Amino acid sequence: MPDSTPVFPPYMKSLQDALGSSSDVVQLPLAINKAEAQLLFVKTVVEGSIMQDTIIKPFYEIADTEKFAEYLNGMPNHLQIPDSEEVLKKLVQGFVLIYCNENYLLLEIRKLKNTVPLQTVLESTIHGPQSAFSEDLETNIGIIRQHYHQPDLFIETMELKDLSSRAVALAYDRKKVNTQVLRRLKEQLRQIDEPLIQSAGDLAIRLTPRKLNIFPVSLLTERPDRTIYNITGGKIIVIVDGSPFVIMAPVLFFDFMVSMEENYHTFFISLFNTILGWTGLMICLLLPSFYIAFASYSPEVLRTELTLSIAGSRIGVPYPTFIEVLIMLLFVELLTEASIRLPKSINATATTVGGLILGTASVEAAIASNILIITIAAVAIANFVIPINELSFAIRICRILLIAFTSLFGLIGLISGFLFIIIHLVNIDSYGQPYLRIPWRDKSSEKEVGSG
Amino acid sequence: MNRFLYYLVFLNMMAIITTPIPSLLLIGAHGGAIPTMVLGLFTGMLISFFFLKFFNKFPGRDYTELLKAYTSNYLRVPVTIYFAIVWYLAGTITLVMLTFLLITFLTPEMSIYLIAISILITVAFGVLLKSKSVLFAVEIIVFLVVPIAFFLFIKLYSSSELDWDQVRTSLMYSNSVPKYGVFTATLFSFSGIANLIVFNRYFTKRNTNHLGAVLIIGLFGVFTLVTTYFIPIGLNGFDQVDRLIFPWTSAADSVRMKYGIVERAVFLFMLFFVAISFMSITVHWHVSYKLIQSLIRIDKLQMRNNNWTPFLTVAVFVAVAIYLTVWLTQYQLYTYSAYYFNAIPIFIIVWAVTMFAVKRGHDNEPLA
Repeated sequence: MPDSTPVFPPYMKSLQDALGSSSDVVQLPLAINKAEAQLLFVKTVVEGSIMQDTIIKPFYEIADTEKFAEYLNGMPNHLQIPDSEEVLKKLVQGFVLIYCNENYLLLEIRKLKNTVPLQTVLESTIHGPQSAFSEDLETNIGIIRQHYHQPDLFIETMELKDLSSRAVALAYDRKKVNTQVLRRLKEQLRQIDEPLIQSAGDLAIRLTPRKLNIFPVSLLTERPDRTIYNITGGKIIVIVDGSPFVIMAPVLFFDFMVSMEENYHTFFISLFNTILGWTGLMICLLLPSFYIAFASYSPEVLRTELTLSIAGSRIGVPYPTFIEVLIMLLFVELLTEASIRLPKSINATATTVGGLILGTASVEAAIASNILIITIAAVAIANFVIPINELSFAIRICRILLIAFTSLFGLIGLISGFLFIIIHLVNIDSYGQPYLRIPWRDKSSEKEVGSG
Repeated sequence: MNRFLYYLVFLNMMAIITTPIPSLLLIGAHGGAIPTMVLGLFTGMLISFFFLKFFNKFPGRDYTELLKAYTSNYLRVPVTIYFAIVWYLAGTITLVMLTFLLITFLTPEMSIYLIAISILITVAFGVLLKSKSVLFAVEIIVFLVVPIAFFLFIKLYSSSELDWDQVRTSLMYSNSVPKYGVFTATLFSFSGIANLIVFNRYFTKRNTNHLGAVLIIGLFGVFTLVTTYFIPIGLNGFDQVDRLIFPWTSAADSVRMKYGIVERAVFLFMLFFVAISFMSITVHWHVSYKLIQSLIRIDKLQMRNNNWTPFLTVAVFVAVAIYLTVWLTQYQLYTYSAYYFNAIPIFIIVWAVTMFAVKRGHDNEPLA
C-alpha cells in the first residue's frame, strides 16, 4: 500500500461507528497525487450517478485538495456541519459527508424516488388535468410552482419530530393567506408528538386538537388544480414527503362539495352538477331515515297511494323497519368496503353477487321490502356522487346517527337529528375558522390579509 | 346593518306561528284586532329603533357587560335575572306549543315525554354553543327553510280555498277599540331585535341607517302579521275563527298539493316551522343561558379544565321545560302565555330604565 493512503479522520470514524456496520454504509477514500478526500454516505439513499459526476469525477480532474475544497464550497447543495445527531440524520436522509482540506462538508445528493406524477384516482374529472401529485416532496413543490407563477407563493419546509423525520412543506400565497390560521397551523405542526407519521392523512388527523371528530377539518387532495385553486383562495397547503396527497387548511364544509369538474364546464352544466352533488348528499344522508319515519311512524304524511305501496311491499317482512334498514345498510356498507379492498379484477364479482343476487334474494325471502332495496341502492349510488371521499365517509356515519334518532323519535327525531348535525358542523372549526357558514364574499376580510 | 340582525328578527317573526300568538290575535277578531295590530306594528318599529340606536352606541359590547360597567350590582343582578326568566319563558312557550302541535298533527301516538326530549336534545346542544356559532346556525337554517317558506306562502295565498270575502268581512271591524292582549302579542313578534342584548358582542360595526333597518323590520312585520291573521280567517271562515285551538295549522291543513309526494301541505309546514321554532327556542334559551352565565359560576363544579356550570344550567332548563310541557294543558298554556305577553310592557319599561342608566353612566364616564 502506498503511503499516500489518506488518514481516516477521527470524527468520521465516530460517525461511522454510530451508524454501525450496515451493509449500505460506505466509507470511501479518494486520493490522487497529493490530493485526498474522504466520503461517508449511505449508498441506498444517495444518487450514485450524480455523486460520480459532481464529486468523484471533479476530484480526479482537479487533483488538488485546496481547489477541490473551493469547488465543493461553490456547490449550491452544500451544507455547513450541524451537530453530530443532526449529521447522522442527514446521512440517512441522503447527504454525503466529505472530509477535505481538514474540513467537513455535507452535500445533498438525495436519491429521488417516485417523482413521476401519478394518475388521478380518487378525484377524476373528464375535462380537467389528468395527472395528480407524485410521492416526492420536491417534485410536488415543483408542480405547485409550475402551476402558480407568482412571486408571492411562499414555501416553508420543516421536519417532523417523529421517527421518520418526515419532511413537510407549507405552501401559501403570502398576500392572500390568513396569518392567524398560519400561525396556528405552524404551532400545531410543531406540537405534534407522534411516534410515526407516514402520510398526509395521518398528519391531517394529528393536526387537529380534537380527537373525536366525525368530519374532517382539513381537506386531502391529489389534484394540483384543486391545490392551486385553493392557494388563490388564501388557503395553506401542507405537503408531506412520500404522500401523493396534500393537506389544505382551513376548510369550509362547502369545499368538500366542490368537484373540480365544475370549473371546466359552462355555467348551467356546472350548476346542474352542483345541484346533483347536493341532492346526492341529501339522499345519502336522509333517505333511509325517511323510509323508517314514513313506514313506521307517520305514514299519513305521504300521499295515500304511496303509503299503500310501501305497506304492500312490506308484507311478509317480520320485523320493524329500522332493523330492516340496518340489515340492508350493513350489507351495502360491507359491499362498499369489500370493493375497496378487493383487487380490481375480482371487484366486479363482488358487486354482482352482492348487488344483484343479494338484493333480489332478500326481497324474495321477505327479509326486506322492494322499496327498501330501491332506497338502499339509491343511497349507495348517491354516496359516490360526493366529490371528496372523506366527506362521504363522514356522511355514512351521520346517516347511522340519523337512523338512530329516527328509530327513537320518528319524523321529529329525523328533523331534530338533521338540525343536530348542522349545529355540530357550525360548532366545529377548522384552525379557528368556522367550518360551516355561508361563504359570502366579505370585502372587509380581504383587507385583513397581511404578509406571512 | 349586519345581516344576522335580520335573521334574528325574521326567525322570531316566523316562529310566532308556533306560539299561541295567532289564536291570541284572533280572539280579538270580533273586536279591535286590526287597529291594535297597526298600533302594535308602529310601536314595535319604534322600540326596534331605540334598541338599534342604543346598541349602536356600544358596538361589540353585550348588555351584561354594559350593566357591569355602568350600573351598580343592585340594579344589575335583579335585572339580569328578570331578563333571563323572560327569555327562558319565551323559549319555553314556543317549546310547549310546538310539542302540542306535533302531538296533535304529526305523531299522535307518541308519548309527550319522547316528543319533548327529541326536541330538547338538539336544543340543549345548540344552547351550549358559542354565540357566534348560534348566529351561523340561524343563518344556515334560515337559508334552508326560505325556499320551503316561499313555496308554502305562494301556495297558501294562491289557494282556491282562500276566501277573500271572509277577509273583507274581518276588515269591517277595523274601527273597533284596540285590545290590550292583541297589542302585547303583536309587540312580542317584534322582540327578535331584543336578542341583541347578547348578540351585540358580534355586531362590531357601527351603522347609522337605523331608519332603513327599521323599515325592513316593519315590512317583515306587516307580512308576518297579515299572514298570521288573515290566512286563518280566509281559510277557516271568519265567524268562529276565535274558537279554534290551532287556527293557523288548521288553516294550513286545508291546502292540498295535488301532485306532491306529500299531499297535505300541513306536513311541509310542520317541517318548516319545526326547524324555525327549534332555532327560535335555541336563540331564546341561549340568551337566557348567557345572562345566567354572567351571574353565576359555581367553582365546586370545576372538574379539571371544564366548569360544569353551563351543563347544570342547561340541565335545569331542560328539566323545567319537560315538567312544564307535561304539566300544562292547552288551555293553561294559552292563559299563562297571555299573561306573559301582557307583561311585555313591564319588560320594555325595565329595559328603558336600564338603558337610561347605562347611557348616563357612559356619558358621565369621561368626567369621573
